[in-house]
Amino acid sequence: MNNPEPLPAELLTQQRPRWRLAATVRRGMLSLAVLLQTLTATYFILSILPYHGGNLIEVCIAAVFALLFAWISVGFWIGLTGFFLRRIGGDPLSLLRQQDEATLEATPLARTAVVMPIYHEPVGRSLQGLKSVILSLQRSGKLENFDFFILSDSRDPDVWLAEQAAWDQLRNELGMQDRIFYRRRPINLNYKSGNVADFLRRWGSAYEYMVVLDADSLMGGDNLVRMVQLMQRHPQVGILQSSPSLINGRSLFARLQQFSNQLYGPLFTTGLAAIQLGHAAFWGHNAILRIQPFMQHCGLRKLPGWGLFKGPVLSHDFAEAAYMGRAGQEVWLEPELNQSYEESPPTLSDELTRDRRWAKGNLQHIWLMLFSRRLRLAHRMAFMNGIMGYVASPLWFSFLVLTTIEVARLVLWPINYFPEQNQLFPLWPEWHPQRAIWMVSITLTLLFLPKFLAVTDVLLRGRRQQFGGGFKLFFSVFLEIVISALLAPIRMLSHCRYVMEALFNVNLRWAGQNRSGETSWLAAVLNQGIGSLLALAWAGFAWWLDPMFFLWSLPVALPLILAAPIFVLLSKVGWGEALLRNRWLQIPEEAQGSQLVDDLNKPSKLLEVDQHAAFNEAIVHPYTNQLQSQLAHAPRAKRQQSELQLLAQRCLQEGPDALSRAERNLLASDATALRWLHSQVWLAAPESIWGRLLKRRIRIANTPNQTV
Amino acid sequence: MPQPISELLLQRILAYWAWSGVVIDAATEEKALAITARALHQPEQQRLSFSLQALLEELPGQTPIAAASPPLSRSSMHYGDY
Repeated sequence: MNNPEPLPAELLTQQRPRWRLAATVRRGMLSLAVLLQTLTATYFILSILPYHGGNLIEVCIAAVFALLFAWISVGFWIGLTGFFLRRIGGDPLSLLRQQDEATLEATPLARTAVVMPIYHEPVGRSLQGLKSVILSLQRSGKLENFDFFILSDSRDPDVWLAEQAAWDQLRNELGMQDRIFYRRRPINLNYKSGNVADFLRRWGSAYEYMVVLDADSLMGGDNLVRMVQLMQRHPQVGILQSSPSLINGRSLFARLQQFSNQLYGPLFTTGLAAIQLGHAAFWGHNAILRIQPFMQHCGLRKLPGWGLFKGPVLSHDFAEAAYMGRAGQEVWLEPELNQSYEESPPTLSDELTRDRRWAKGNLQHIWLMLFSRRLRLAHRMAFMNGIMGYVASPLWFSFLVLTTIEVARLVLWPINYFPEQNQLFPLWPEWHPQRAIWMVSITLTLLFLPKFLAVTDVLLRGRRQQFGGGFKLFFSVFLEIVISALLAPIRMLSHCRYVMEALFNVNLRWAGQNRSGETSWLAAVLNQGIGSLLALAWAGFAWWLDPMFFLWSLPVALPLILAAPIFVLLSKVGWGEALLRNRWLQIPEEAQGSQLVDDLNKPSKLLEVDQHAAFNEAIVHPYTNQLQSQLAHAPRAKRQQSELQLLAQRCLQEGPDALSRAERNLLASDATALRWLHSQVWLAAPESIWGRLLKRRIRIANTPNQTV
Repeated sequence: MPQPISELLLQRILAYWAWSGVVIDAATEEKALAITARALHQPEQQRLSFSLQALLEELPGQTPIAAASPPLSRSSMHYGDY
């Protein structure tokens, strides 16, 4: 590793401060558009309500409506901006367009660490992904500028031993013993940000830049090189975020997600990048960071508040972007950096599990948004955006509750025509159903017009074949819209629960989450049963009140009632693959192929590490035992040694399953114990536990198509 | 039916070598058979330990693996305001 050298001044691209002015103008225009649109819509809804906001319930309905409308209006205008910019060939102010291609190509690289923090991830898949990235960099011819670090926080010995075995396999396969490194922290402090900070304290000063990958990230070599070159030319940029596309989905759910991400995503990210410019957010992965300012300004203190607002920052990325901005560094989102990928959660259940975590992390940002000093307004707004991503659900829920109360009040209570004393004229409730239909139409336009603009953009660019051809593209869009409409109420109810859990700092979990490939009926019913009953009761009440209100409630109630079947059917891999075979929900990488994705899906020995229990393998397999022993602790103090010897004896006599995870951790961390167990297992009588395990392992190795 | 001891010994020797990176060809198999034959002449309790000892003698010594991480280059993270 060499010490980083700064790029000569003549190679630096002159920063054009005009983006700051443009950012102010664009954000002002966006705010104005959202404000005017929201005020108009709120005025309109007040005219629809029977008393036009003349009582508390109606005032609350209008207030909640205004917040929700403003939220979708922001999305609408961002989508529209993205469409316009893509039609004129891209944002002229984007970082990528501040120098020509040849200049960028000629820019020398600097030492860059590619880090992949992992915590109990599928080991084979994660490292196979890293291998694809390395192979892609090899093809770009610039591999020598990059080192790779697998940063593990895993606690389960079956996982971290597998990680170590796979890491060894990977560097041997690629012949990169001195370029691919593995580090496992003994103590997990501060989650992922603590893991990255641990890396930076140890090796950060040896590198100019750090690329952060998630366990499911994929980035093309040319793209990585381009990102380093952009950072080299723009020394004021602290973080450059690429816009990862979803790929590799197999289940129906994952394929829907990746289709919508690839079709609509570019419009929204182009619009978002144009509004944020140099004050963008960091999404935690598929991004490059300038190490020196990051270490100088992005240490995350624990929050000093109470409940949710006390302790380590859970969702670190937005906070780090805000701190970089505070330190005068620019943070850019560059949507035109292609070959940046991640994967969708395979099922709705997995997505909601992730959302539970994210909801807590994003709501924690309320503290940072309100109390952090000297943050840029744009970054406070980014916090607000993330918070609204989850708070919108309880707002929508409140809206439904308030409208139900309003209808119930009108139906069940006698109408008071003279609510005020000494009132001369009666107050008539007014009904304007046609206006309500107009209001719904306008809201739907806001939600769906950007989607149709995204389709138009694809057609105008002549990319329809990449999405399966014209007819299949439209069918796929129709399918995506129908299913996303079904998913919206389900997500809303789950997010309500997560927001409540987060705000009250409690866990209201009522059933275990499914983590297997597909969602089982039992798991789906347990997970969604209460929501379905709630929706059924609400729909029944609506019917009892007024059949018209019942019809009004159906778009929300029906998906919730059918939540369990929706969970199960969307998780089906067979359905997803059947659609793929027929080119429905097709994405460009499937149409034209991608070396990066092909490398990921190639059969590989790395994928085999997940097939055997890694603890047993570390004891039985001679090469693995040698590897794991060399990575483990050197012999310990005598007292500890004697305790470990007792534990090892027990492991030998009673088998690995008789030990707790902590006990197996102790043994797996100790070189002497591992070597002793290895020698004893090979002497084990055939009828003993280890004798049988050894026999089974040999049989598997001798089975055709199995490797040792 | 319990596995005959000769089969067990031969199976373990070949598996150990294969997993240690030794190419299993006719010559290796002959060596394995020879170790098995010698082990069968040992007292019953010592057959496994004899064969393990003998098979290890045929293997090259342990090669140290390359370091899991590069030399340390320490520096500090700075913690500013909230």
